[in-house]
Amino acid sequence: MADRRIKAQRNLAGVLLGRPPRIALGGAALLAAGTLPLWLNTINLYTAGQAVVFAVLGVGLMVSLGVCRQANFGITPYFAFGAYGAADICVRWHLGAVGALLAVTVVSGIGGYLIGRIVLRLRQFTLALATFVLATAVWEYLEVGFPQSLGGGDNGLVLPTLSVFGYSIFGNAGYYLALASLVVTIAVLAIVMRTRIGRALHALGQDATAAQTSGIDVTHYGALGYAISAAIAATAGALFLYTVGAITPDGFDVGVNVTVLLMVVLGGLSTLAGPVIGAAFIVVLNQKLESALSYSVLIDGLVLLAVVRFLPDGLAGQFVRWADHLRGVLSGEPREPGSDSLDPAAPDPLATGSGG
Amino acid sequence: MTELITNLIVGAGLGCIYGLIGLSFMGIYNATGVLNFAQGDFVMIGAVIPSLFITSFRLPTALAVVIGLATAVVSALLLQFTLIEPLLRRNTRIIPMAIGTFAFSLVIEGAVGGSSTYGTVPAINYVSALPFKLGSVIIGREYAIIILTTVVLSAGYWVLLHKTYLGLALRAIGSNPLGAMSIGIREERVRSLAFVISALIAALSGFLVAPLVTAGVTMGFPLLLNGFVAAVVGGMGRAFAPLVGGIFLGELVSLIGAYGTSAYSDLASLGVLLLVIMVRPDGLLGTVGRGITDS
Repeated sequence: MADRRIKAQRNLAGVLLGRPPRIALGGAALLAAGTLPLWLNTINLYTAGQAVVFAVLGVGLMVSLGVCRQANFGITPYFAFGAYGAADICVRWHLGAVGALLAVTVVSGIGGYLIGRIVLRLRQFTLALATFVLATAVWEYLEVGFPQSLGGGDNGLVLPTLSVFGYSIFGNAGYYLALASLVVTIAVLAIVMRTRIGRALHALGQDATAAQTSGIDVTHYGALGYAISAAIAATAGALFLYTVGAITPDGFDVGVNVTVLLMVVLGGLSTLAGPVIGAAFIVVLNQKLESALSYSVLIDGLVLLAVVRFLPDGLAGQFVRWADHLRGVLSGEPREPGSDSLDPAAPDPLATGSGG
Repeated sequence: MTELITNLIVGAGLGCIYGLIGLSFMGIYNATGVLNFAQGDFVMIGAVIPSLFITSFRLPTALAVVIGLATAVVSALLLQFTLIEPLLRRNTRIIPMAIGTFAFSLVIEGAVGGSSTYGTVPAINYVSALPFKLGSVIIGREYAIIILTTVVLSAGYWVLLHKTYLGLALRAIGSNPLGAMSIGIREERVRSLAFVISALIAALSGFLVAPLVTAGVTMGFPLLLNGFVAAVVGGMGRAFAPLVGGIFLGELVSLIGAYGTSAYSDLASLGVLLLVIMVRPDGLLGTVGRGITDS
């Protein structure tokens, strides 16, 4: 009898704070983001577009960094490949904006898998350095070695006018394409993470040895996680090209690489919403701080330092914790933090990571 | 021929700086397991702070250098006690730890840059800029001083590590933190020692290299990258290993700059690093001082 009452309360609390509100919150955020072009001026809309593009990039990096726990400190090569590749494909093969985006995504995924097979032989520390150095080397190459005709060097390249389903890419179409890509990316990932593949990736991130013992091909799934990140990063690169319209190697330098890492960690490595929140936070913060340029780096640094120091699961992880706590209070059984993974109310494989 | 020798000496000088930065990076890594991306900013402090004090307060050079070194040491201890120690207590993995040092690096750059408007600073010429001649070979005085200082510092570091109890404690917390704690080594203090030594070496190398590069708030990162390469190419387990890696790298950069296109020298050093990491993940000299787990 008492059992049933607790269960009923728990269900009520679950409805209030569980999965459905998550979808409702996401839907509300999407609606708000969708109406932005109606009431934002051009500059702020540009900022919003950047936030969406970096959210895609962050979600991509999260698969490798957050789910598989690979010390992947270099995502910009794939981001750059997406941008330069999409421009090239648009000009050469007339595939159109969406076709070029899909093409670079697939190619980057395949390339990422092959590179992943090689670099993931390294352990955490050397892996971090190797990926970081690879990213720096690719940027240097774009600066000095990449053919000028393809957009290398300081001149970069300018995107020719394109149309997406009949609308010019330079209007709001670029923004809506980016937003749609973000939604599709998150939806696909949310589904994939509930399949056999997603569980394998997650197991790999929790404990590689245990995963191997239970029959998961660690090399294959590790490279697969890395490849998914690479593919999504290329998508983000193409979207970056579409929303900015002109790119130079500076768009893929070490600073950008670090910024993306900071976004993902700021938002939290344990939820899909984390990178989105982190990207929005940092892009908007940087735009607001531009007027206070001399201290913007300092403020950026202090905010991030505080998050790393005090919020181990990032901003999104902290919200999840508060929600869990509130849910516990409402259902009359306050729980200790850290018991989430044993709780049937939180079966989302992305929500159970400790963020460690 | 004499031109080649001059280039080789320039390469050795650069290599020694890379080696010193690699050594300072290795010091913190071996004691704590932290990849310190803020190491380049200690180098920057060593170059920029003395210059700021000399130009704005007209302090004597020696005093300004001491202030620069002290600033670097204070920053390193701040890093240790505001970030590294709490995260170590929480048993944080390598990813958030490294990102935290990125954030700390932004804080240092923002603090120094915000108060000096991000420009470059005038370099301090600690020796006469006129080179001296040895036979027919022309040698820059800075290079001679850099090479001498590096040899002395590396030897000193080796003696500290292998001939003193403090060094024994340093190596102990590196190879087996739990064991070290159980025999009564006070981890936190020994780690502080590692941070202080590492910051001193980094800041000193920054001061020495300042006349040879453009000194400014953003000078740290390229130097940090080359320090990484030196440490990893040499191997992280021995006092002289980063020096070997650094000189190898310095010669490479110098010779490519002299006989090829200098635009490709950075790319070449990164390529060498990737190659070494893939073929010999533990570096040319082979040992890794710290047992790193895969998780």
